[in-house]
Amino acid sequence: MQIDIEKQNGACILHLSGDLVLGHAREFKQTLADALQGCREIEINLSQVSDLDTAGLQVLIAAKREARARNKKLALVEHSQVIADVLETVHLVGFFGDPLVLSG
Amino acid sequence: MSIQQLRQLFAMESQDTLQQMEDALLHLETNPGDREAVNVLFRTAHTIKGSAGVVGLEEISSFTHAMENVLEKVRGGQMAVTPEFVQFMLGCRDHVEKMLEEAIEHPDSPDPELTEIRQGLIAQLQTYLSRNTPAPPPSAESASEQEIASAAPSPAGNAEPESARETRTQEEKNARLRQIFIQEMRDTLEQQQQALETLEHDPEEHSALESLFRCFHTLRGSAGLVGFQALVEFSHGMENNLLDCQRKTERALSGNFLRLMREGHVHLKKLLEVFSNHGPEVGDPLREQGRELLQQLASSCPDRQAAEKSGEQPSAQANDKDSEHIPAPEKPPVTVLNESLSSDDNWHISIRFHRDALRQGVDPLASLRYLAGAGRIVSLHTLFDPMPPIEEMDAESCYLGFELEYESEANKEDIENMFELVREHCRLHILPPHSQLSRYIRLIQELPEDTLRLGEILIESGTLTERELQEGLNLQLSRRQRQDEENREFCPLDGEEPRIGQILVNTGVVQEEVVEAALRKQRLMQDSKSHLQRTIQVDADKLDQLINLVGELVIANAGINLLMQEVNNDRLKESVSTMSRLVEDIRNSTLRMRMVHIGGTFTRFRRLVHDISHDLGKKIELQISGSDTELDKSMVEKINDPLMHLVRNAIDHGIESEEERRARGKSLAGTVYLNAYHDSGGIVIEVSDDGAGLDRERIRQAAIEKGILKPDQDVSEQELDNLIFEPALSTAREVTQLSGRGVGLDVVKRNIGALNGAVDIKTVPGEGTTVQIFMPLTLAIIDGFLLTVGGSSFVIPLDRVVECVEFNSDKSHAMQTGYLNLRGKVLPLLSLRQLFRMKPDQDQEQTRENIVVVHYGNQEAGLVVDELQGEFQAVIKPLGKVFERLPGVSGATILGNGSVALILDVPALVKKYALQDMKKQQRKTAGKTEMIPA
Repeated sequence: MQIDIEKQNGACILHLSGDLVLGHAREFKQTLADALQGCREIEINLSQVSDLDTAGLQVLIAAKREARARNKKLALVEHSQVIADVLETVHLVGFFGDPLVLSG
Repeated sequence: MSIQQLRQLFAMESQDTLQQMEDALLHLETNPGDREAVNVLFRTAHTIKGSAGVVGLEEISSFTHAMENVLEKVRGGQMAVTPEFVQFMLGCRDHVEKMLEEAIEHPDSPDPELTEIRQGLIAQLQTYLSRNTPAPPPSAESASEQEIASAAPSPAGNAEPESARETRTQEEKNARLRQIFIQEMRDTLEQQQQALETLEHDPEEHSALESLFRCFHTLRGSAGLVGFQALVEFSHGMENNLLDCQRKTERALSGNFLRLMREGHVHLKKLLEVFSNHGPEVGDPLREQGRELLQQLASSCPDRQAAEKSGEQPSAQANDKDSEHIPAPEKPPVTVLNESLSSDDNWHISIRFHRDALRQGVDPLASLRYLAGAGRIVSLHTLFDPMPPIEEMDAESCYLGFELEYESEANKEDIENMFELVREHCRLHILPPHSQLSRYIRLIQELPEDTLRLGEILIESGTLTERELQEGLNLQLSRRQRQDEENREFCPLDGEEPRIGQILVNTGVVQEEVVEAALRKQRLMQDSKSHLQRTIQVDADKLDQLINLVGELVIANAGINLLMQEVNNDRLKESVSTMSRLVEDIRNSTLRMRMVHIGGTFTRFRRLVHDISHDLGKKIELQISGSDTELDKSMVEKINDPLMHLVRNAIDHGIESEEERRARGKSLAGTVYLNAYHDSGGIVIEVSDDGAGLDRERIRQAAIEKGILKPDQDVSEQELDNLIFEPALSTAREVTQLSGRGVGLDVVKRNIGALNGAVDIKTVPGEGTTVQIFMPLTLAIIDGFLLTVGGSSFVIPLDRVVECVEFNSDKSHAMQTGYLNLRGKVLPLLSLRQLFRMKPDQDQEQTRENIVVVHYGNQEAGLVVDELQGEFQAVIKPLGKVFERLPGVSGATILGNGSVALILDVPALVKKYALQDMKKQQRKTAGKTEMIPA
């Protein structure tokens, strides 16, 4: 798993790649928690994510919820097929509220 | 009525509304998912907004409007309720309260500081609003409302046809009329919604039905005035349908009919929305919708079959986000509940994964995929309620749970086998299709989440209808009450670990409270609603005047009684006794008029507890009982401060820090109890905590240092405890720091003493402290017991009197020792003659004396008096400044013959004199006793 953070005047864009799975969950969570501290708007680009398991999903849920509570914007963009499948399986597309555009 | 008077009225009413708002907010803090509380919150903001507009308080109106907008968003599910949000809204609520005060006290000069605060709050409200969704344009609407408000100080309902005709010629006035119309419509729709809600719970509630009918009628009439034809047609149609149906069936409306009525209500709202934005022209689709709805209604009433059929057509309105209600279930409501089966073809599966599931190699997603492969997942809800905030969450723990509807041909065993791999790592419940309702209810109650939340999920996924759920919950509740045993006996469902059995009982109990609380809340809301309609407001001064007059009447009556004894006339006696009875009744009902429930005072402490526990970082729960206990209004106002002091004290000093509680094996959250009950003509108010209790050794040391106690003095524990009310002690630094008690408690005691009350404290070290306040119910008139000593009359409150005994046996011995052996009980004696230093009768040994046994708390004492005169209604007159602090005398009253009698303060007498005397006796084992240290 790799996370690249790009900052554009207060907004952060997180480029994720690789597997968002249990083994990386702690790191992934910390990165998102830090981003929620520092950035006003967060965009998570998921186009390069190759796997997402329950642990990874939980981190995304927690981050989304946290962002809501803090009144910040958190958007998932360019879902990879894997991500889209998982979100559809657990019926949480509506919870995240982002348009599902497959990056192919 | 002037505008300022109107405003005062508004401010008074808003107190209640603000209280409701606060209750709802505090409730939300612990139950963030409670939709009903959000609705209440929204309604309260809306109510204040509307009324503030009517009385021309633009700032309040626009501010609450901003609040309302944000709440609308919460209600629509676009925003989660977080503790911060609750805190912020509490701040907003307080600000509204301040603005109200300001508007009443300084109507002409707004405080610039307040304006600044308000702007800050509005800005924050705007940020809440603008998050994610584009901000709706509130400015236009609120501005126009302000316009009406300032232009029309009279209530909106005064739009008369006559003025309507006049204004039609003038464009500007016409617009204003429309605004008034819109405002009125909103209010009417609000009423209608309330009526519908009531009907939902009780379809036979007559007044709600009438109200519903009236609403349609009002709407039709007013819409005609502004030429809004579409609304006239629709509400007319609704009105007719309701009337028809009512006449035809002559009984309760069916669930389906009510549902259509609700849809009609939503449709009306839409029409109003269109009107306020575009004017009276309504597009065809909306008109068509209205017509369809009316047709459905027409066919739904007389014929049940047809009704359910039409209910099946999915209706656009029912799913509308604007709807106040939970979206109507997709299946027709089942009206027959006899078989008690759910109307559902699918399996219902509930899974809650254990925290360590992921670490054990379980992937919940994989289970779902597996399920999806072997059947069809009809609906699924992912739950993550137990997940802590991101900072605290452990990314490797599992917090997920699923509620799903599953369609499959497989049997239960097969489905269970699908979970073979994960079974050890989760709590699993599988309910077969058409399960008994009670099993669903049980499921709801066993799962950790909030009852209402799970109930909503079941409704939303079509497993249960709202009505089934409600009936089930009620059924369960009544069964519980009948047979408490059942709860303990029911076996754990399949697939559970044995130890969960115990947990189930616990959760069951918790849930029972939730359900009960919900039902109680509902009842209360209905009660208070109907209560409001039956209440009239009376100026407090007028009431006081009435009570004074009744007092005079009582005195006059006593005079007549006295005269009657001189005239020997039986017919006169008869009519006098009738009159006396009537006077007594009048006295009682007049005094009752001033009685109010103490519950209102208690509930206000929720906020106090919430704030203090925030400040101190302690978790505190406030439990209230005895809210129905009644007390004179003037007393309620005066008891507030002492109570606040005691509650604060209990939290601050009584309840230990979390670490200490953990060390002692107590639950981390401390509890403060407020309780009230009637006891022998008075009221007892208790403030208890489950904290550390008093440290008696510290109190003793401090008391010795202060010279209150002698080092070798022997005092009972109770006396020691009561020392914390001593002024010298409570100000002693060492004590407050070391024992952590006693700040200003002497003030509490003094204030309560001024109300003829008394304070007592009980403590169990390590377990908690209870402070009891004893108060008389009223200060105006009491039932007294009249007696004479050496020609002077005295009155003792009747409820203090235990019995009267003739004083003849062993007189001299008893007077010497100051004690009487009354049926084996040692009774301290107190001679009023000596107390008030009256000259002894010449032939004292010969006169018959009597003993009145009086009680105070657990102590009894005997008052030695000359003659007993019997019961007497005493109108209490204050003694005036000079005698105010006279010990042992609490007031005076006027007798029928015009002479004055002193009212004796029994607690003070018993405590001060009898007890001091007792101590003296203990020290002086023999010798004569001076009874009275004047």
